[in-house]
Amino acid sequence: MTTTPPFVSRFARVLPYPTLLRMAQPMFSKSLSLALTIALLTLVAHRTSAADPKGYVAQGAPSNPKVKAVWNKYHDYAESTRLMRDLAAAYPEFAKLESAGKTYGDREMWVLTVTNFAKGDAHSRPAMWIDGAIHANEIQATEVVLYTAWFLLESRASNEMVKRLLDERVFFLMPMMSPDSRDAHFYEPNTTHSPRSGQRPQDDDNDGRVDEDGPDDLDGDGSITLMRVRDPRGNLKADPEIPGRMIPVKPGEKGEFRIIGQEGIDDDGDGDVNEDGDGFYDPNRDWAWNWQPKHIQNGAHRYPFSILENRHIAEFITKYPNIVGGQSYHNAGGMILRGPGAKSDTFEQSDIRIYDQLAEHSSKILPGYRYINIANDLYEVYGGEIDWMHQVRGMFVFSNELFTPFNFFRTSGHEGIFGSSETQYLFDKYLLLSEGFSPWKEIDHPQYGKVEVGGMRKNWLRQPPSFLLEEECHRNMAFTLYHADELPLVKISEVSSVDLGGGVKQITAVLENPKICPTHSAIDVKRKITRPDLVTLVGENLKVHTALVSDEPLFTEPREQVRKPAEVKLDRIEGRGVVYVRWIVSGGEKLEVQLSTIKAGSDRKTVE
Amino acid sequence: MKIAARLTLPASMLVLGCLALLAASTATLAADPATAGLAGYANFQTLAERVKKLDEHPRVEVRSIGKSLEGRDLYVVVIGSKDAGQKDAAEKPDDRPAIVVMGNVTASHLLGGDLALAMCDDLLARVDNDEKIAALLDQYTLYVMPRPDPDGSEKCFDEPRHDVKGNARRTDDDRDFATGEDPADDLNGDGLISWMRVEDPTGKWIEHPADSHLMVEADRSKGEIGRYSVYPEGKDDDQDGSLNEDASAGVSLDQNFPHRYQAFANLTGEHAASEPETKAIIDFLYDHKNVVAVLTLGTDDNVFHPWKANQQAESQRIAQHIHSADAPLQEFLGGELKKLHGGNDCPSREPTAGSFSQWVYFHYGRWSLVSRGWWVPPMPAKPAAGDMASAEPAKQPEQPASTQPVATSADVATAGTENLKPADEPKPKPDGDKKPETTPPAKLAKKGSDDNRLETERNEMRYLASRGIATSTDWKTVEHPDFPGKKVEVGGRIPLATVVPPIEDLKPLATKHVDFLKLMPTVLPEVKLGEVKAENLGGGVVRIAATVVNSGRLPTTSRMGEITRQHQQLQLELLLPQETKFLQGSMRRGVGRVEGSGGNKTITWLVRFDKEVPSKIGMNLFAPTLPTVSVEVPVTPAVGAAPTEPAVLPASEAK
Repeated sequence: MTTTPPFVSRFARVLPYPTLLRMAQPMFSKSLSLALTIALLTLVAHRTSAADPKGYVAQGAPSNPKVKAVWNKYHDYAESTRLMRDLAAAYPEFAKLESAGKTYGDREMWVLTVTNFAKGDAHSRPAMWIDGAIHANEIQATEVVLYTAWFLLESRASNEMVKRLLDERVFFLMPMMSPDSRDAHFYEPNTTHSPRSGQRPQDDDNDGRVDEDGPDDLDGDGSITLMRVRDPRGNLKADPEIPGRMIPVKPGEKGEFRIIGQEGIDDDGDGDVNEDGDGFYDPNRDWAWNWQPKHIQNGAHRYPFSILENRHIAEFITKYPNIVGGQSYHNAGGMILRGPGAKSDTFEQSDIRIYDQLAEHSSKILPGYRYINIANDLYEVYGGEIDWMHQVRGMFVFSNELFTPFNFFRTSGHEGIFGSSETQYLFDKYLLLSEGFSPWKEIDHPQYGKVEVGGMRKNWLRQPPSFLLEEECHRNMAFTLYHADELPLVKISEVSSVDLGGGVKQITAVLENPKICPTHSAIDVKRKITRPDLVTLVGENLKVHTALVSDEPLFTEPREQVRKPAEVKLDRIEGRGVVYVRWIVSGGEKLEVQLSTIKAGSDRKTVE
Repeated sequence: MKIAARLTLPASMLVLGCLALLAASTATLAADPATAGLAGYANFQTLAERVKKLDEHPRVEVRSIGKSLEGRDLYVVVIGSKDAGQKDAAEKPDDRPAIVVMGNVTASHLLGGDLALAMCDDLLARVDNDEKIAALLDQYTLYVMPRPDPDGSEKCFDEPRHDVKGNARRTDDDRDFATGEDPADDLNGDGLISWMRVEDPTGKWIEHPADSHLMVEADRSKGEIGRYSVYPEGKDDDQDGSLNEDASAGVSLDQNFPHRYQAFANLTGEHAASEPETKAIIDFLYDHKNVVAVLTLGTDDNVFHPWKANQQAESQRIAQHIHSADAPLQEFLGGELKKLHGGNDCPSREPTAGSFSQWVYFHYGRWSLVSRGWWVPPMPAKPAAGDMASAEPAKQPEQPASTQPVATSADVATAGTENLKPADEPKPKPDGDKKPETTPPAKLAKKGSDDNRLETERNEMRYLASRGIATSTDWKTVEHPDFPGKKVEVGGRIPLATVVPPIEDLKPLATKHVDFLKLMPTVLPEVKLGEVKAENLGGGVVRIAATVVNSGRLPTTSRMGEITRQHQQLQLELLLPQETKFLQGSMRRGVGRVEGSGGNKTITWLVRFDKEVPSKIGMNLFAPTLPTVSVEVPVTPAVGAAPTEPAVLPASEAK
């Protein structure tokens, strides 16, 4: 300790090394920072022999990750790709990076598979699908998925629950569902709401010309904001409390401004401004369940999976029938959504009860979030991704709308998905120090003459600011890990044998699923999406006379399986459920009961 | 093996039948079961050769718009103006309004494909001598897609002959997680998958009292006692206790389109537009904004049975009924074809959920007409004296017949007391889809002393026998491994034998359909610019007003076409320099939908010229579905005070 400057040791006592380093960097000059790093490394080396080998560790994120990452910034496509490559390289036994296909813009649809491969391949155990940003402008959705990947891999060694999750589960993580548009949002002028679509050209106004007149960044601030003109008879005036904000005039009051629309000019000289920008097709109205065309469901493309990227994803998911849970991240508004998306559609009642149980603790894990149904509590969606996952793949899947206006001032009662205009401006003023707002600037507009351009920047309203981002990532991940831990997981808890005399035996197996989710959702059973669970009695010189299945140990009302009694088919094992299987057999040596499921793992037990 | 002609015919009918056979070509005399009913119909190789032959014509360009699952080309025969088939055509076929002729979306309805080809032959044979055909092709492009499901249609020529329902997709028809594990089997080696009856005192079936080839359910109320169980011909290949439960029948394209698509049902596919053939068709059509109307040669006729509107339901988000504004026009279109076709006894079949024809109207937003083309005419079992003409169907070959190749209720057994269960046959669905086709009983032969059960099927058999086509075989005993010690016989109706008419009936049918297409130039929308004015108001200001008039019978789009937003707009564009200042309006204006029969809309602009006011102003009226109109209007001094006019006055709708 004597070699360490006193101020370093003071920091080192309260903060783990990487945090300290992160804090140190902006505080000192580069060379001083380097010197400090060396000093700290010495310190760390020195401390390995001390009583606490890790130093003082903050709860939450892993304290000493192999792959350094910061979670108070947004990662573009290249940075996200690099992070996943680094994780896969650092943890080859636990992570595998692959592409589900190329996008329209020739980017990769990355899937990072995270599991303990020593326990089996990616098909062998119940799997959780986690994706983000099918609407690319909803950029923090990607960060939550990246954070989850990083957290799982970096915490496995130190956290028992994470270790167990990777042993028991397979995680498929697709942080960027629409990577072309992610880069478009980062590097092209946009609003916080764009681009929701992909980058394929589209003739939105049906005039035979494609994307001929989109918005334009006239003031060069990187965001598409609004245009206003000064107008003493306008319907708006400046808010006396908050600079930049405009408020409606009261009847009889004198106005100052009039909004004339989104920032842009008449690019194609047809007399209309901004009538055909980036194509509007919505990747989340393209999925093959309850699909409807665009005049019924705005944003639909030609037919289900007519959007290439979605086709890749659906094919990937279909390849893994062991995917039983799902989580899709969107923004905004602080919602935990479950299907169905259309009022005319229904979920099986028993499946809804499973969703309710999974979401039971959500309001604690995610303060300010509401667990609701899309069709009845939000708006109707035809052809949505999570409906396809539930209704066609039989998965239990949520969609979280990240970032809640509750977070502005940790008070409830805010109207709407983004909070009121007033709270947005107040938060900008007091917390963002007015960085969220691009001030009004006068420009010469070729069609309208002198206009003013200004408004909220593209990186504010839907996206949390840096200091809320990490929390958003962690809380949502925690909700999803709880879900993953409650996916079905079967075991043979007991096998017994009773000698019935004359060489005849009665073998009874007790099969349990202690988790919330059943081994197949009710819709999976009804539609025969994945095969039944198989309980097989194997042995040498075995003759199976009959097989019985019961819900209780006394077999008071057993069901007989007539065909192939050695291989008993179970529609499913309920959540927190138990099934008893009994065989009457002759002969049989080295008897073993094997339980094989698609979605709930497998087990085997020898008959003593 | 012997194929029995229908020998229950009275002697006089036999004589007439023989005369009919002599009158007809000899092509259909085949008693070979492999060709029964299908002789002369094109397999894929023949079709490809015929399509290539068509390609040699200067008006023709053949394209392949994709491949089937098994890699067969999805051909579109493009027929148009004199040089449409040339690379350096003055006007590209895709740049003109177009009509689609769709062949057999239902794989087994081979008539659709062969009729489409016959229409191509007829068009090209007559174009040089028929002004109306020349006018049609000089003005419109035809996209003829003879065989949208080439893999499925090819199965009709398989040995053994079997009922065909879908494409080449490997499907798990009984959803037991094994695919195609128990198809039907040709037990007696006659090259046919027909029917199988098992003597069984608990069975529900008896022979039809008047026709030993047909089985009917015993009517206990009349004291009939069942003697047989009936199954499709086959054995329990996978020994699971069910008979022929999974032949991996594939996906029926006519149930794979996205309108009213039914998921998790037999033959409908993994999801709407899951099949490469379906996708290729949809993509082709969406890529061709110039298509005005689609004529499908299919069995869900709406020529004789126009779709019915339901005004009460029109506010619903998802339309299920033709719009009340469109129904009279569809009926008018169908009526024209009906007049040319003749007859009034076309069997009806509701479009299936996920059908092509309804997708065309409800999603693609185009006029959709379905012509069946042929069905079995009613044929009395005993010709009434002095009614010779109606008893001689061969002289009315255009009045013929078919039923769906699906098994009728009479053919389908339900389980007896046997352990073996027959495979699930298509059953009427709760929403009324796929109701078995019916010909109104009144239209059929009067029953004599006869039992009139299964009269539709018996009429088919009677008629086709008169045309020399065998439609059933005698029952023949076979040894059956799953029914040891029981008498099992194979025979009954031949699959696919009643689906299509004798091939020689196609030529006159094609002529009728081509004659219908000849009417299109006078029926489809035709827009002109009526009154066009450009008035110089002084100060460099010019008021321009143009009235768009539709002299065609049909509106510029159907009402549903407008609702679906799948049409490129009809636009009126001024040919003025980019820097022109618009006081009102903009360079290009959408005209909106213009009603037919003289419907019109007026568009106005106020334009200001900084420098010199031009002496004339040009404008273009264009939409992919309409021929482009260009005019030049002189700028004239304004007369009197400027009238006040709204920007867009839909004159025909202003009330």
